[in-house]
Amino acid sequence: MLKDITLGQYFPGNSPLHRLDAMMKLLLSVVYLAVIFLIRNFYGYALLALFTFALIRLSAIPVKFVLKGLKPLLMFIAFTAVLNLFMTDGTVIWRVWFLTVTREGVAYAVAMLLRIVFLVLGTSLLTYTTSPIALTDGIERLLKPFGKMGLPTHELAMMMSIALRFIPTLLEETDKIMKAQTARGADFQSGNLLKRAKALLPLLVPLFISAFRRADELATAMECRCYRGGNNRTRLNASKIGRIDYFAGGILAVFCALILLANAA
Amino acid sequence: MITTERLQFKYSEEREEEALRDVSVTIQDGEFVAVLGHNGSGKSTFAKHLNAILLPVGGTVYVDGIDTKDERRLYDIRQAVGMVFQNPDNQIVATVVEEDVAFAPENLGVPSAEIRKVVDWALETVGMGGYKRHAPHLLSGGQKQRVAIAGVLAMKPRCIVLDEPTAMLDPIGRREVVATLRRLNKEEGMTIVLITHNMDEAVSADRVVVMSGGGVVLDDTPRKVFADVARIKALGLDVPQVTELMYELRREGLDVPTEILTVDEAYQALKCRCISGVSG
Amino acid sequence: MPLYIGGIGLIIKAENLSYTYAEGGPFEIGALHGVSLTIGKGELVGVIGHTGSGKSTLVQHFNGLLKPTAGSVTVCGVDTSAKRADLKAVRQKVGLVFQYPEHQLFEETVRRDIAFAPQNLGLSPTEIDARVREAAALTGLPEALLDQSPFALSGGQKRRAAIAGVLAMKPEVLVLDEPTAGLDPRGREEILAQIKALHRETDITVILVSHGMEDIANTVGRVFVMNQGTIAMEGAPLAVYSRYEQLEQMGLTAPQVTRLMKTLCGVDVCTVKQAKEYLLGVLRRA
Repeated sequence: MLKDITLGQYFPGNSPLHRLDAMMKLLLSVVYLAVIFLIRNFYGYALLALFTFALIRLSAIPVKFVLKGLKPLLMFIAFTAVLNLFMTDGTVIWRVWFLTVTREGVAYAVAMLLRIVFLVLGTSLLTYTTSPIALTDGIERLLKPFGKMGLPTHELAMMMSIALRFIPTLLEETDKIMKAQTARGADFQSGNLLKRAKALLPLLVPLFISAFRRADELATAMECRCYRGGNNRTRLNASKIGRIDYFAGGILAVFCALILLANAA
Repeated sequence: MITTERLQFKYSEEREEEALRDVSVTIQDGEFVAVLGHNGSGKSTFAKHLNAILLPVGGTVYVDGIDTKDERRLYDIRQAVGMVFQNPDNQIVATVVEEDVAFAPENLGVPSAEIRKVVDWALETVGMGGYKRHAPHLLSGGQKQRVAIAGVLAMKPRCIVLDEPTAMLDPIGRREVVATLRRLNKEEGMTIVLITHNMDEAVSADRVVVMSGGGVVLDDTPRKVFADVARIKALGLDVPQVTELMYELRREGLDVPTEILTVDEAYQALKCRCISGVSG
Repeated sequence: MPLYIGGIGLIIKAENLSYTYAEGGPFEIGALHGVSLTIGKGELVGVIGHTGSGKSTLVQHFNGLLKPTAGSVTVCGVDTSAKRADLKAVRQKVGLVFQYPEHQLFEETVRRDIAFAPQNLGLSPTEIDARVREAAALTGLPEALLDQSPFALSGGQKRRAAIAGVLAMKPEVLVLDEPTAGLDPRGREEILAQIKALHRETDITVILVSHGMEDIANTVGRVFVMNQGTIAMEGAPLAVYSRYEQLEQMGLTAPQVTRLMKTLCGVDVCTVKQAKEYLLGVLRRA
């Protein structure tokens, strides 16, 4: 179900993690994700687990809620692990029928599994502690250097935040049109693929028309509020990189150093 | 505040019919004007001329003495005359109420600290101060529309034009929005232009401009405009029920006043006659 | 005892109907709590209530779009809460016209859009054609418009086309959710007159859902007032509107003449015409 997907959800709060500047948080997350792939041995993973757990505690988000984010990906994780388990060449330790399990395979599967888990936990933590609007703002600022190369950074960020704003509205609208067409005898559930695709027409046509109408009205409303692109725009919550952000950067640097040390061990 | 001189408009070159024909209206500072008309009467087209969303094909529109055709002053005009539309969903930009209200001042390049002040003020003024961090899509229709009004207020305009702001709302939402407008007009001295086809809303205005076929057909106080029941009905509009009642009684030959707008006024006008009637 | 205007028998019966959206979630608005009601065949009833009072949730039970969490709904003899209820048959018998129905138009011509429902019923082309014409006539849509794009029509015409799209199923019950929303006074009057004519000319049962009390007063024979997921009042418009103080507490607005006549003469009226006739009687005598 849609409501099970927690990745990308925002969990309001006022923890140090919530208060970090969005751009800084994005940068640090990228570093964190990169570090995951540098880890070579058990000590490294132990350190990573410890660090991640500390971050979750710091964010004041219930551990259960964070772990729930893994649920929809469970199948994918299991599949990758199994694939690695059987498909890696090396010293055979177990053989059943045509399947062979190697020492390297086990190590690789475990490593893969841990990587995916921490990858998901890390990104969830980012989206849980950053509101969508702050996130788009962070992305916009992060991409700013590319703006000089002609990348429409402000427009991209604006599009993202408007999309976020209209997702619930359009979902509601989809539900309404679906009900209305069902009341006229439309059937969205049965029939073969082609039949089902055709059955979507009475849903998609009105939905597109409505989306275009909304876009048109929104554009006029934005013009009425003096919107003229990204130049000279100010922000309500002007983001400034402060002491807490440098401190967080420092902690992550120490963590990276420790991981490298662990790799050498 | 706003003057239109023989304003004309056509949506396309080929079509003969004009959307607006020689509309000359002056809106004074601090006035509360209702523009009444059936669908297709040209009232929305008229509204869109007041802040240069549409530019006249013929005639001129002046906002604070600025010709709306003057491109260099476009943002001065848009800031002076804010516009609120029918569907609140399609004018809210952000996923958080206060971020949405901040949209216009952000566009105008107002410093952060001042945006904070003006956002807080705008939300307090429309009675939505307690909803700063809420998600707009979870609010009721009336609340959304008040957020949209706050979003326009945050530009510190001198006039707000509202294009059928209550058409999609239920009675509670309507009351909320109309009460907000009346307060803005009385307490903040804001000029209000309310486009509507709801006569109950027009009653609360200082002045009613009735449009039909792209032109102005009546322009007077609500009392005078609604007293002309036959004319209003012929234009595809309605009058308040009590006004209609008094008009009907008069047509039956009873000597009752017809310039009646509210239940209280009707009560006062009929009270003594009814009591004597019942006892007699 | 409920009164049946049409007189023949029951067509909808709800017993202790309860419904909860996303149980336990934060959006538990508009739920229903133990609603019981009966609607007679051929009746024209109104359902009023403010947004979130449960009126839309209630009528979606009448054609099986929603199934009760507790209690039961019987429509045209079918218990919709039964496990193997034939919901398709129920949906054909109860036509539901949603708010702003013109937003569902999708075909290239009005004719094809109206034909959508009968097509889904698997009818023959001649039968479909006959139904399209009949539905168009019943909603007052001129034949000349049938081959135009629905998107080229005026607001009022679009709405008629959408209502015709539901009538083409030949339902026994027609439910209209806020059929006059967004229309100007003339458009509103025309649609309501059309609904009254439809009810008069066919033996269809009509359920009119609205928050506009004036619309309902002039149109229906019986009113249900919904508040907080329950039926707060039920009866003839006159009897219900006379309790206007209670209605106002529920976020509804009683017609001006109702308030006036109650304070002035202590009598109950709900339309201008009734008020006029009463006052003429009193004042002429004086």
